[in-house]
Amino acid sequence: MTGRPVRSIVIAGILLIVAPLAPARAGIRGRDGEVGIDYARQRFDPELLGETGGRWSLRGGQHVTGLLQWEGQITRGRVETTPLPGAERSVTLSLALVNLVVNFHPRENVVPYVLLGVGIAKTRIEAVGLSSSDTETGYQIGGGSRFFFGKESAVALRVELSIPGGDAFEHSYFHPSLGAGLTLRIGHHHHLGP
Amino acid sequence: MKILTRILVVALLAACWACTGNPEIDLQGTWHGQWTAGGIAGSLQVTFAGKRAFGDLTLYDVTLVLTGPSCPGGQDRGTGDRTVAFNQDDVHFAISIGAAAGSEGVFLFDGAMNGGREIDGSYRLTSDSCPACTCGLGTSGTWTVLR
Repeated sequence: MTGRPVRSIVIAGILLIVAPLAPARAGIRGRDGEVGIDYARQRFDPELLGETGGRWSLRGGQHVTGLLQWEGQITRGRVETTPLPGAERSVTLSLALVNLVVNFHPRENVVPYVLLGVGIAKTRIEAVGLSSSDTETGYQIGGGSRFFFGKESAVALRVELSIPGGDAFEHSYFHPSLGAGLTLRIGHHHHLGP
Repeated sequence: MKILTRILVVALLAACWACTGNPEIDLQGTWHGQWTAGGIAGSLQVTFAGKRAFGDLTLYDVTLVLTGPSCPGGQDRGTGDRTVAFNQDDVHFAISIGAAAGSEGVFLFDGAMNGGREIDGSYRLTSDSCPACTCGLGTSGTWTVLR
């Protein structure tokens, strides 16, 4: 199965879940759940190729209050370069993180945030047929915003600038990235009246 | 009892030193040896340069110069930028022989360190052909070089 059909199925699945939640208010607040998927372009650390690759993330979490949210995130990114056939060099970074997210509410349908995450990172490298991997502490710092689609939507576009990183091979590596995806509020906001 | 404790401490320190005393091998420099393919043999000169870390692997640039029975007056020359990977025991490198780098004449050399001053291994042609090869390297064979 190619990447495009899989992406279509995921998006269709999210929209099917969203449909029953339509008659609700936009935004997100305390005790709401949230799940999402996003794709980022990631610049791998100069010590690990220094090239740009792709990264997919799955997220899910709970808003404890309007301000604070816990979020789990699983993400995997990869970059590869082939100077000569058979001499490929690649880096694969997998992270499992717990993020503390601080949310702001300047408008009902715009929810910016900053986050700090910590967890584990698996860094795998391959070069000319040799490979090595290391699993150590992972972390990230980032910020972005959710833009809900209309006044009554539970779905938002989530845009994020982040710097995930991880310890490996007795070094710390940082991989700045810019991503976007869809996020879904799980919770029902009734209209409070006119 | 005191003497026994001292003996144990000295033994422990010696064991620790032995564990950490293995010096890091650096491939940088020129290595000389030979290649063989079937009944054919020739000389080989491999130069590793541009050392840089890649995780716990080490990458180098490589230049390879070889001679053989079919090119007594000449030589074949191959290069690769950051196409050497080394991890203390194993050395893998790719080179391209000829002007059209990357499409033809690409060989992959796999080798293993033998005592820190010798590398032994095999090679194979990974592209379809090698139009620029004149020394009879063939499509596969073995190689050995010494520092």
